Amino acid sequence: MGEPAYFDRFALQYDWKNHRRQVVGEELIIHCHHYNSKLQHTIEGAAKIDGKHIITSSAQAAFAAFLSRAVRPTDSTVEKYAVASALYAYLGFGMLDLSKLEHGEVTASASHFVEGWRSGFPQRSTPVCTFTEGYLQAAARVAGERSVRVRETRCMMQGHPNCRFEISDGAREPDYVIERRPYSVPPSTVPEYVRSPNIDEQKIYEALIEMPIHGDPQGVIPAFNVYLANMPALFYNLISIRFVEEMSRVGLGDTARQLLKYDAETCGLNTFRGIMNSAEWDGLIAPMVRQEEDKLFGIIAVSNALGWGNWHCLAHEPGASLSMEARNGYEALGYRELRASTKEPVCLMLTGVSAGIMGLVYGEGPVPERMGQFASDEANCIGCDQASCRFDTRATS
Amino acid sequence: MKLPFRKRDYSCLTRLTYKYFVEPERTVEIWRQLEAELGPIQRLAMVRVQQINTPALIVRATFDGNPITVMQRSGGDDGALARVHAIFGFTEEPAP
Repeated sequence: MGEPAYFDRFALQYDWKNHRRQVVGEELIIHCHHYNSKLQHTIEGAAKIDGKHIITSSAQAAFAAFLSRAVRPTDSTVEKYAVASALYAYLGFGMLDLSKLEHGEVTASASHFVEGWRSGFPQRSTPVCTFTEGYLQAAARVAGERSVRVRETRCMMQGHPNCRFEISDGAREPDYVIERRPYSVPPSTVPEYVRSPNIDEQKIYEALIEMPIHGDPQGVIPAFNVYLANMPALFYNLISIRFVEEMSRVGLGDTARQLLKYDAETCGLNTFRGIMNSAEWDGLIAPMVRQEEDKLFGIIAVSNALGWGNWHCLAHEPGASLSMEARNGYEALGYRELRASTKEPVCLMLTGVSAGIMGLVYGEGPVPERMGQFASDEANCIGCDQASCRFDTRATS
Repeated sequence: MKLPFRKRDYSCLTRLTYKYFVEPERTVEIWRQLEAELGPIQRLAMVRVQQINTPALIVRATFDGNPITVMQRSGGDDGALARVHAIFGFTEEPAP
């Protein structure tokens, strides 16, 4: 059986030096359904801001640019919609039927985000596909040259066999415009990192690059015991930066930063717990593990291969502390591209994950009770004009 | 412990995921039957994983074939799981 139509346009380019994944020139970060739905839950759940609008407008802005590069000038409108549907499936977001989009209706028969909500928030009884609304607005803009507003009218989360989206002409407001300034980190000396002699990092990188991390026939990516998705780094950066900014306007900036770190700590605990229980871990990494800290170094190698940033261990005392350096974390670079330098460190995801993975490897008790057993700070940040980002984590008791 | 038995896996992609431990000497035959029942086995040599991916279930293990993780996908029918149980020779403990 051959690959689905148009998948050949989305060949993965991997930058080995910087651990960066790119498809059609777009930098992608792999996260799982737990993290993506939790992030959405946090942003939409804030009462004093319009979190839903942050997600739809950021998705529209990020994917309009992405899709513009994926379609070709010679493609017909029908082909452009087919490319949009194929890209959505390739990235792992699910299966869209865009054949009736011009008549005002789209349906989805599988959804990464619905799976995340089912897993983390099964009591939810209202539609959850906010991200998809933004994606569809981008698809209509790029493929049909239409400015539309998309609203999900029923959702698999509510027990329906598929999700249904209503398309109406005329956007609610002008498109959210992104201004990006190219930024590259000034060169600096690379320190000697702490590594495990037992963990073959190169073997892990090669395996994860070779592994087909793209949508299956349902457009989702069941791998490492989680549903993975390839998300543009730009989308994560837009929603995080805008969430903190809008929360700051109502006096809740610190709360926003804490919430995003908390989501990331949960991700470090739950996503990597799933990964460590997976057949992939058993087949590839478990045979390398000789001592407890090897698990930590295995996790770090996996996260680099997922595109999170070229980050490595500066110092580690098993069970007590961890110091990590990231030379190109997507949050810091994204902040510099989208905003400017800042006084506050901006790598909230890597900060929270540092505490989460320490809790996972060395924490005590059931995993949900390991939240907070380690605390992490970003001591240096590229966003603050420093040469690299450094995360210091220590046990809290 | 009497084989086969299963253990709930709470850290997985669906809430209905179990890891089945089957008799080692039956592993090859079980995978042959799974392939006949569910479809072709996909082998991911780079991570030493074999799996069968269907609309109802995802069945996977390392190349050793045992234990076998079975994930019920959302909307999957219980009939598929019952057929996999029959292949494993697994029966649920009667309620006390």
